[in-house]
Amino acid sequence: MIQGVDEIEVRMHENGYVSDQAIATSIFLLMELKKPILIEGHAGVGKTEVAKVLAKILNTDLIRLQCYEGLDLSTALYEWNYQKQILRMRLEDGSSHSVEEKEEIIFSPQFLLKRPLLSAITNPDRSAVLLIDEVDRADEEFEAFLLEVLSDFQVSIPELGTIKATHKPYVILTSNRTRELSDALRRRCQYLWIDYPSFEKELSILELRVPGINPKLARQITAFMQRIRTKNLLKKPGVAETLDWAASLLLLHRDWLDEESVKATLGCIFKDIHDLQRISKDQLEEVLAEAEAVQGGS
Amino acid sequence: MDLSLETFGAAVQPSGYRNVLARRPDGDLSQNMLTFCALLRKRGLMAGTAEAMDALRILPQIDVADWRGFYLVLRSLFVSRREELNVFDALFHSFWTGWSGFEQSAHQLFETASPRDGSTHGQRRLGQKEGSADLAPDDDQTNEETSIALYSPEEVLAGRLFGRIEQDELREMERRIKRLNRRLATKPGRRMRVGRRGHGVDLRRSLRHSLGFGGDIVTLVRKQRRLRRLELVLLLDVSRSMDIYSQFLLKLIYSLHNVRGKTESFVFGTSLKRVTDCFRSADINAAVANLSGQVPFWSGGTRIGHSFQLFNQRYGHKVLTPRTVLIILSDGLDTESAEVVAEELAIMKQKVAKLIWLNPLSDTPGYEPTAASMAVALPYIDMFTSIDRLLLGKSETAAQTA
Repeated sequence: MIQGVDEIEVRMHENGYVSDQAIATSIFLLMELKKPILIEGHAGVGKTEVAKVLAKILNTDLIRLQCYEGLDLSTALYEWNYQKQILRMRLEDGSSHSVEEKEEIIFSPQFLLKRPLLSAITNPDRSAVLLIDEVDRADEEFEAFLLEVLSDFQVSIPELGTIKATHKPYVILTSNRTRELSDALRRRCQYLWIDYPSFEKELSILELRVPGINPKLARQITAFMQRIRTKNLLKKPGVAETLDWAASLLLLHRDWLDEESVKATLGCIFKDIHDLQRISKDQLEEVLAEAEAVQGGS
Repeated sequence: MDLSLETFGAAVQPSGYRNVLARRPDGDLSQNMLTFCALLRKRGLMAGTAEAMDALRILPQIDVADWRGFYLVLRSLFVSRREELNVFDALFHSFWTGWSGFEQSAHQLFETASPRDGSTHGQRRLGQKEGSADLAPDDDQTNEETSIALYSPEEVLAGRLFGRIEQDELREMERRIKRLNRRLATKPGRRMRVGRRGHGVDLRRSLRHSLGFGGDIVTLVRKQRRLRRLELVLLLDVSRSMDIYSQFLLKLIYSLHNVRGKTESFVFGTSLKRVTDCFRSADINAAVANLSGQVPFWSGGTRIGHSFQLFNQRYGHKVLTPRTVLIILSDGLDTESAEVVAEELAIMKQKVAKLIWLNPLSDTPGYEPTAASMAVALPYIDMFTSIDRLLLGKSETAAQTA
């Protein structure tokens, strides 16, 4: 069993995630109080990754529910296996079962398809990590339903009755802030804002996730990304982009940044045509020069 | 409740905890925690007794000599949105005094935040006000100040600009809005309902239904997409250059609110103000009187970029959704840098279904959108037209030009 905030930080690092005291504290509270974490932050700062690495250090299952507009109960909670039900009814054709008995048979657990939420609360043996990803994309109606599940950890299925959680899952919700979440949902959760990492943090992420990277290149990439985020962009590149970029440069066997290699790999950094057009040659050269200077200074 | 908390608090004061307690001369931790929560609630945070209990329960397990640990636990539990972080930090600092290590980390927190989140002192204070969880535009104090200070000039202004709006003028407007409404109203949502024309089959209901026939599926229950209303957000320019349209604008907003219900309205000039609540009144003249007392910048200068920035900061994440149609009504004549306008429009554009810019000048023969703010705005706009054309519908415009 994991004790204390510091140990969480260390264990996360062992599993490939560079966290900080704030993230570790939230996870500590999640483990102790079973209070869900609502993580907000820009795209690509590692929100989803928190849940993945938590499942790893707890050695448990990660159950993921990706939200989208129109997400409904049959996709999130459960669905009856209709094909199987129909087949069964065919088989029952000649039997002497009454309509009530037939109903009981085909609406029994063996015909139930568990979707993420139901799987999470009925996880055998131990608590699972339930990741509810991009909850802001689901609509308000779904949010209201989610609240019900998160407060009681039980669901009722009309044909079967109420199913209670055997082991309450560790719940992590992420949001990209495309929509304001309700106060009620926020109230159920602790709040964690993950910002773009500092130079030091981003550098250690890079070194941890792209082993074997040239130290000079790592410092240059980090400096470049730190600078480029201060520019006026529609989609600022996150850490995910940093890692992508570093991997691409490695594939191209580059040991340092120069104009040519940056230009060849711009697609790893900018994911929006407006940004590609917006970032002028001058700006790019300026950022690149600064990135090179950082390396010289160290 | 009080009693249980106190006993609870007494249980969670291990020796290591003196460090924290010593900072507050009046001692008792559970009492202090509740006082702190009350302070946070006053500033609009959702820190209730349940959260305080959680904090008290967890603190004995934290190394409490470490102020940052203490701070982080409280922050995780008491803060529920990013905008509250500033308020929380300020209150934490003033309440649990004496932790010198805090200032730096708090500082870093803000340094990394985007510059729009308030690097100057004035903006910081503004950011704190945002912390209030509801959409109420300002707190009581400022409301009082403006209404007292500007009472008489506003009266004159209202008389000069707005005139009295007659019922039949309004009826005409509402008739036109209703036609517009049919075009703007809905688009198919992602959820399904039982319906006759649907292409999908609702297996669950079909199967249920079939049980009555011994398991033979006799009729298929069909499902179709449920229609969902689009939400409307209006951003109206009320600077001096728009004066001649004022009365028309008021009728437009009022009718939209009346016909559509869920509509949010904002007016801007040198600043921005949410005016949705003003239009709840049943009588348009009462609504106008109500409005005139609340908008000190009516018929003043224009700072489009600045106003849009205010909008995005204060309300953007609350009222703009993928189901929002955002209508901006402005002549695009601005005194400030157009760059900010483009930036802020880009943010709005990302969040909404459609961005419509209505420019009254565009009806003028030979008009070209060359004003700096207007020119930079064009790439972000889904529909650039005049009010008349929008209300009359495309076909009639074609007929007119022909």
